[in-house]
Amino acid sequence: MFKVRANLRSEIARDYLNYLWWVVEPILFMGVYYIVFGILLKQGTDNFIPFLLIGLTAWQWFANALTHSSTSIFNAQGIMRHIKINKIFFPLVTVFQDTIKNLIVFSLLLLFCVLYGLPVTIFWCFLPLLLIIQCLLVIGTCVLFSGLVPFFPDLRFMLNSGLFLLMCLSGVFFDIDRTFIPQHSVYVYLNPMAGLLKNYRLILLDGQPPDWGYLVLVGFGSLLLVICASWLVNRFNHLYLRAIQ
Amino acid sequence: MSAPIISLREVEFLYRIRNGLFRHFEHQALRAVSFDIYRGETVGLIGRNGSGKSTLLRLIAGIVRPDSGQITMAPDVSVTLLTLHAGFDPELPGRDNVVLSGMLLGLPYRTILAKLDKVVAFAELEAFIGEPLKTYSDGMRARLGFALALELVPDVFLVDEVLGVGDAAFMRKAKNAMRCKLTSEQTVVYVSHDLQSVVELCDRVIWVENGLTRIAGKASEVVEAYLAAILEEENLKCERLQIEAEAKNKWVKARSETQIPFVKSFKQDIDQVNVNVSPENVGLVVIHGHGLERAEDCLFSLASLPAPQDMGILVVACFGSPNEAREVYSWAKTGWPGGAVLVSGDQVGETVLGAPPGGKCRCVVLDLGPQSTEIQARNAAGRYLCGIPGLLWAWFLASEMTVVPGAPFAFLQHMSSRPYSVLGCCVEDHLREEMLKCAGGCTLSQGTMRTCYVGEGVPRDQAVEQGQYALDSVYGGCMAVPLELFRTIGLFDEGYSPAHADLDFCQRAVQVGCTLEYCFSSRVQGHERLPLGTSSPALVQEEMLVSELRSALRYARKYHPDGLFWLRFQRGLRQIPLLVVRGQWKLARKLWHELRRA
Repeated sequence: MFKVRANLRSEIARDYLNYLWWVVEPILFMGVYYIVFGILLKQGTDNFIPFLLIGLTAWQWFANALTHSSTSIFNAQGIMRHIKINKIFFPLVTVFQDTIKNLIVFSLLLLFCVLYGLPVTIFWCFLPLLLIIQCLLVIGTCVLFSGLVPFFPDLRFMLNSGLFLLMCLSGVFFDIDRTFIPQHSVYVYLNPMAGLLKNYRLILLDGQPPDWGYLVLVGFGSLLLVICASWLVNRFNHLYLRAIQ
Repeated sequence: MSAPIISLREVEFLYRIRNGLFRHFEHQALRAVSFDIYRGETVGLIGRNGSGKSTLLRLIAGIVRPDSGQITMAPDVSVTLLTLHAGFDPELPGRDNVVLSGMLLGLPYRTILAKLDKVVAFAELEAFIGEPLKTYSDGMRARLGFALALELVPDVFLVDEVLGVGDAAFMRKAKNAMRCKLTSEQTVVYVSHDLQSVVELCDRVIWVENGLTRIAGKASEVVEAYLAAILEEENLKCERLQIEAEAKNKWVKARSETQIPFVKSFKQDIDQVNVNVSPENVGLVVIHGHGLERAEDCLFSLASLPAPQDMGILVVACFGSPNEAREVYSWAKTGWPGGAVLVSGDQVGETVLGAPPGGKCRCVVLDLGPQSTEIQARNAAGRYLCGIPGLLWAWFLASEMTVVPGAPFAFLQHMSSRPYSVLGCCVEDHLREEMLKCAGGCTLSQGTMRTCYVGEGVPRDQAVEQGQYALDSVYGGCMAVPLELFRTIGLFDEGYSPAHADLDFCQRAVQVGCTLEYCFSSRVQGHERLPLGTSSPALVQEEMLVSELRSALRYARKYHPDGLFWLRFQRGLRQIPLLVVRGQWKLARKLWHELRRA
């Protein structure tokens, strides 16, 4: 954890606006999407701004963590060459780093929801659970990718397009249930991010309980992914340095 | 002595670095390294750069695993590879970096905090410790890293060349501190190029070279042996450079004093050259084979010859494509003291004709044998043997022959003391042995043996029956003749079919008073020089047969108007003897036409 803290502090030290960027960057990002989808494309549903903000916050957590951590082992040659270390350390540091940043943004989001006048219901208690499930999903995906990139460096280039496609399919800036025909949306929800976003919105936007069955599935699936990915990275632990050299 | 704390057995390590989709660069860093490390001792590892020392340390530290072999450690042994500033982040203050790096190196958080002041004090960085690392100089960073390293207390400490840090004062301090640490009960593996410190600090030293343990033993002894080896190598290198430089200087100087024009067609300018060529003093370079890389070899070989100033004119003769000969020639005309002329293969005899058999011509045979791949060799096989008549001629004339060792003719030297001389070339190593056997064997001692050649499609037994000796391989040739017979030039290579050089050679031989027995047979099958655009193999064979025969007859007629010429023509396994008696050219033509129809 000290490494996480140190990295965060290092990141702060690098830019002049320091901590402010963690908040300003997502806001800028959301602004862009709001202008494009909310104003220009007139896609706006009711409460489009909170709808978009919730989607983007959760999505950015996933996407940033994955982008940053995918090359974490790949770029850690300097340390790996000199220190015997379990390579899972590198993606985990990055994931936690992004998670902490995201938690700050998330609390700002909650504040915004309250100020916007959305009802604060009892179901908000389930939000931490939702965050934990997403955290598991993020860890599993990040560890898996960081473990694969050293062997297939070309994956790095595919990752961005992959993430963009996934974003479009996760309903970040539109409502899946309204946009897609029902036959398609069944498949769209196979993407756990789509389901998670929907559940965030159910709680925050509509003041309804989450879809328990779906969450349990995603939770277990993510746990399994974490276990498999960790096993994989452990299994190849001694091969990474060679693969990268 | 107690059980080793770490023991390496037959450890191998291969670096495999990918530099393309399917391409790899491989480097065998370690091959079969074995040694033990005992508790409390300081073991030094020495060796040149790239000899595998650092790889060994990484293997011991467990950072990488060996490809094969075993590294066993006593239970609960912690091993740390000392690295200065591992995991340092330039944005963070020095203090955080110490904590971060310390944790990465295996110290608990609290321990580091407790030792932080001591580290900072040792590094003498109190004023800077709160500032980001990017404001530090390299020396300051190294000092901080070193101070931290001193606080590490693993069971086995691996130290890789870290003593040269900071300014002079700090370096002394660092060395002393490290010395204290190394001479204590700590188990240490110490890698350094500073041999003095190795002798001082280490109980035992292991010298690693090319991924192998060269010597292991008492520190002073191993270091001494290592130093001696390095010194010797340096001396050799110096000596060689000096010799080369001297030779080159001489040549260049001599070259500025003499100049001989490039004779493109030797025959035309023979008078002009004759003036300059002194038979006693001719250098003959036989370039044998194809390819420009041969020319490079040739140049290299020339450069390594002793006393080049005595070599007279350099005759650059080529039997293959003229390019490589040109290359050598263009060098030789400036680099060779007596200047050079360029002639083609069948003019070699002519060039040194002035020299009587057994005269005083000095001959340099540069072995430019088959260094090509097998395919190239296979393609060249037909032409390969072209050089042999020239070579024989050189041999014949030379009173003194320098053979620059290398592939096919290396054994010439070996054979020259025997009653039989063997000339030959072969592409494959195992054939060379066969040739040697063939030369020393009794089969050839009968005196009836004229030509020995590797016949394609001629079974060995049959070849022996026919008075030929055959080797089993297709790719290569061999001639084995009694020395006596050889002196009268009674041998030929059937693979060399156009016969220009052969016949030319015969003529020269006759002119210098040799009696000539010429056994010629043409082997078409498998010959690589097929005319382009011909479809039927049979037709191709036929045409080549005819053209070769025509050529043979033409030359025989030209050079042997009065001589007896016996041609044995071999077609497949069928032999058609052609007897061309003095003046009987009509008969010869008739036979040829018959053959053509057949």
